[in-house]
Amino acid sequence: MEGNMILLLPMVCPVAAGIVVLAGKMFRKDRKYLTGVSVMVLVLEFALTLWAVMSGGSLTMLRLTERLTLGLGVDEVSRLFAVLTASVWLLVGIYSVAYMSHEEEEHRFFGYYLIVVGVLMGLNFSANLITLYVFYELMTLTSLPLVLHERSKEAVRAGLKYLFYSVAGAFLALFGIFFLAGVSESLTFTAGGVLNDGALAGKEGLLLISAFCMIVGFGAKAGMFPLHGWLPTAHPVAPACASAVLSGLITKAGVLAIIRVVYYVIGADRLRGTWVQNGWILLTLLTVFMGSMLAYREPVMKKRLAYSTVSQVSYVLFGLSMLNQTAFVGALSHVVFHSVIKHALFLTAGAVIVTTGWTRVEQMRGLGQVMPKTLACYTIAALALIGIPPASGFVSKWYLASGALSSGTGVWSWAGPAVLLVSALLTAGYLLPLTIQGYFPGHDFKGEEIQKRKLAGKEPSLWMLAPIGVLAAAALLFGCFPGSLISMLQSIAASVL
Amino acid sequence: MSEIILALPVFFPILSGIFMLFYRWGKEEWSRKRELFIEGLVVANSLLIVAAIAGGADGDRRIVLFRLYSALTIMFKLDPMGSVFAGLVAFLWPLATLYAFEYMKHEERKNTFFAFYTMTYGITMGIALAGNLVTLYLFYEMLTLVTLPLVLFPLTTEAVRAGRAYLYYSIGGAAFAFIGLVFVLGFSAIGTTEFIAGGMLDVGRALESKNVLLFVYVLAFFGFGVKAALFPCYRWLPKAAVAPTPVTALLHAVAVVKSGAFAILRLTYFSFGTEFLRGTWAQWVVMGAALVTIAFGSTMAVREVHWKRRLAYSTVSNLSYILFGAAMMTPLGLAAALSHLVAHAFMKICAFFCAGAVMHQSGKTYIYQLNGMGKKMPVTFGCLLVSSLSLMGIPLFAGFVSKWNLAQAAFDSGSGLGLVGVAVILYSALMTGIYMMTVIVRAYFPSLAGQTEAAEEAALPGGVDKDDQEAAAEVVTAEDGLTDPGWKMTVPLVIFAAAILVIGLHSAPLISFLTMIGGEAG
Repeated sequence: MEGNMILLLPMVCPVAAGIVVLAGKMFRKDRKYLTGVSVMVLVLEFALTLWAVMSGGSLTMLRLTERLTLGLGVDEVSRLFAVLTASVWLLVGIYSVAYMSHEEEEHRFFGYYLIVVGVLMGLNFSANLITLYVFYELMTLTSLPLVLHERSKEAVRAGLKYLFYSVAGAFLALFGIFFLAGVSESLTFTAGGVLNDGALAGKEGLLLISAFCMIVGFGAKAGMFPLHGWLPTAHPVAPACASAVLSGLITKAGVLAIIRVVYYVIGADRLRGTWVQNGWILLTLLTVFMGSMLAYREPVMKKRLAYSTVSQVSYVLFGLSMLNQTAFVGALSHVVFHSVIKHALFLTAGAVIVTTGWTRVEQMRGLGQVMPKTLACYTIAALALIGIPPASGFVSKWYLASGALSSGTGVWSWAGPAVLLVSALLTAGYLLPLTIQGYFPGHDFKGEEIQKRKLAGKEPSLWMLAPIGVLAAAALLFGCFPGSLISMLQSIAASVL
Repeated sequence: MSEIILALPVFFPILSGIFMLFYRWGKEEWSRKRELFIEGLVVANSLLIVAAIAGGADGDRRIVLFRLYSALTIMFKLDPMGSVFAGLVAFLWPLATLYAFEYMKHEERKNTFFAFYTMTYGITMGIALAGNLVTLYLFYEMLTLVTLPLVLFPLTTEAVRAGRAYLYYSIGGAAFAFIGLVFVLGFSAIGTTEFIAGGMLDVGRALESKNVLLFVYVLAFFGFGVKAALFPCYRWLPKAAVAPTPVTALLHAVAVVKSGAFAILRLTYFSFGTEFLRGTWAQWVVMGAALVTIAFGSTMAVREVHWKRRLAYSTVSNLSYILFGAAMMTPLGLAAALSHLVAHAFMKICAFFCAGAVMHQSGKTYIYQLNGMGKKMPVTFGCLLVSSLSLMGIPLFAGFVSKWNLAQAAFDSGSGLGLVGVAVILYSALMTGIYMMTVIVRAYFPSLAGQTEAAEEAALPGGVDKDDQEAAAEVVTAEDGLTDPGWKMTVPLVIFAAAILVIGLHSAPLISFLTMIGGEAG
């Protein structure tokens, strides 16, 4: 233990609180304690994260062997991911207070919910590849109970599928880590890469294979083809607040891992123009198109959103695979925007389930009469995801497309933007019907069910509505005032490329 | 005979075991008296070993017991590699014995069981401390014979079959190993078969009949490989899971099977020598066999639904990790093999003991019967979780360290088959994840649907026999009262789980010691 101990706090504090919540009997009995403590810990977590981010520095935690060190550190990328994680986690935590009152075994949900955020913070602050891998595995294991929460046959199956895909991806990536450990001085993240040219001589082919394995392996968490299969199964079976963080933040852990590997360990220059880059681009574009297509055809709301995640996270990966500055800025800004937007969408789906019990899109006709405010927030988020200016999605897609056009990757430089465009149309196709049918159900709509169950004007409670509103507002405002975020991302891009 | 301390840990348990077979214990509280006697004896023996190792393990300390004739001597020698195996066994045996007391509480013929169990300790020490191939071979054969009654112990048809398979496989394997012994003696540079780091073959003479010797090496590798459950001679091991859990855990996850792996390490690094073997067709044959076994064992484990047999298949696969390290024939390879030998010992004995604890408390032996037990037996399943994550190779646990070393050694060796090996290990790690985590998830997150099904089945009116209904009711009540076993079982479990974490978190001293051994012998 040497270095800035403050970095440890955002990790240790929620994990300890989570264990207490899991073990404490009083949390099982009294809901007030449970939710009160959980929200307080999340607020504290937010403050601690800001403190850690401001104080900076690095920390060596533990030496597993002579060469394997667990260390934390703060750089621009970890700042971005840490602040994003802490703030969104807090909002969803507040939402869960109301949402989870309809579920059983709440203490287990909140316990693991707190533990996972601690593990994610460890992941965000990881200073080397080994630490990243440790937290990556721990994240899979600790988020598993969130997927399993309902304990239906479906949920258990989905949980195991989630586990096996994630572990398969992690082991694929581990192959790369084994290799990289042999050809680098240390695996500490350094902008531009850490590989040793001397040790690498004659192993260039193997390097590319390792890089590809790591991209595909970590891509499993990000829902990238071919290891995307778990995502549409696992995300919808979890409680809506868990699906939100699984979709919005945990998939981003895969993105973070790929950023670290490509830009901070291997170095973008070693991959530019190789078959790895081409293969990677192909996979991301396939995923973008396939995800949107499947979302378009999916009738169940949460599943539709899960497919949308498959597609949208691959926008980010597409931007990363271009290996140029503009696209990199687009990718990182889409990390933030997609996270905010997807949370808003999933939380809306959850609010609908809690209030009305509707899960399929065609049931939600006339939703505008039930919860007009919530649906308005949904609509803003949906427009942002499609990429209508001035909402945030437009900004990231603009950077992605113009980055691709100037990337010099041959056919991809125009095929990429074309796929993004088609996918944007599909996005409009799968998100907007809810808005249209919600507000304008048509002449033949009598709204019998709404009348019978007295659902009209039944907005969800403020605990749920407020987080959705804040997220929707953020989705809009990030698009109107992207300046400071973009300039920060540009400085990151300039350092790694 | 000044180094008598090297011979004592071998003969003391053997003689005590023989004594126990013939001694009549008083009827009153005989069980308690015997337990104290056995535990005291085993702990004393472990202390002897610790004292011997503390006295220095540089390989100069030796004791020659007797000569069969000029070149065939029975001798013990304490060198660093022997002390790793000896130390490991000395650590595990007292704890496993403690566990066995509780586990065997309701069994008949305890006396016989513990007599042979204790004798096995001495014989395993004989293998660890053997100073030459002749001694190793002798104790290797004795190990088969003395553990046979332990496999046969339940005396069911299944057990008798398993015992027979075990006997035939082991004796057959030893015959192949014997051929190796003869040739090593014939081509030895020093006239005896004493182990020397780097090998004792007269390389000049050996190169003249290179292919014959390589063929003999492959034969001996497979011969000793029988005990290490090398494909295609693995069949006896899953069958032997019928034995009582202390036997499956200690002998069929550590002592017996690792004796096979240990013998192969001795054969490769200390007899033939890596200089002679490296890069030959023999190396590719044995490495290929190890890789096939790794993939095969873990795939079979996924398909198996009987818990102990699943763990046995997992052992099949994991033992070949050690053999894969051995077959790399580099210093790092030996260090990696030894690190997996140590790490796997802790994780597998821990997993087996958890399975045994569940069997002992509830009588459940199949994985689909474990629904929801995690909350009722928190200590047991907590330890199982640690052991499972370690077997999967999650960092912070011991299994990751040894996998890391194996992979580094494979990349370092630079051979194509080594790379394939890394891929196979990762495939096997994924399979491990599947076959261990399904158990964990079932125990902690039982599917609600499954519970209602079981309840419905139990409550079926009419059609079902009355006995069945009563039995079902009994099971339900038994499950209600299900708890962790007594301290004699939980204490070893917790110690093993802690050991896994300690190795996982701070392995630098161990690894540097093993690397030193590798450096000498590779």
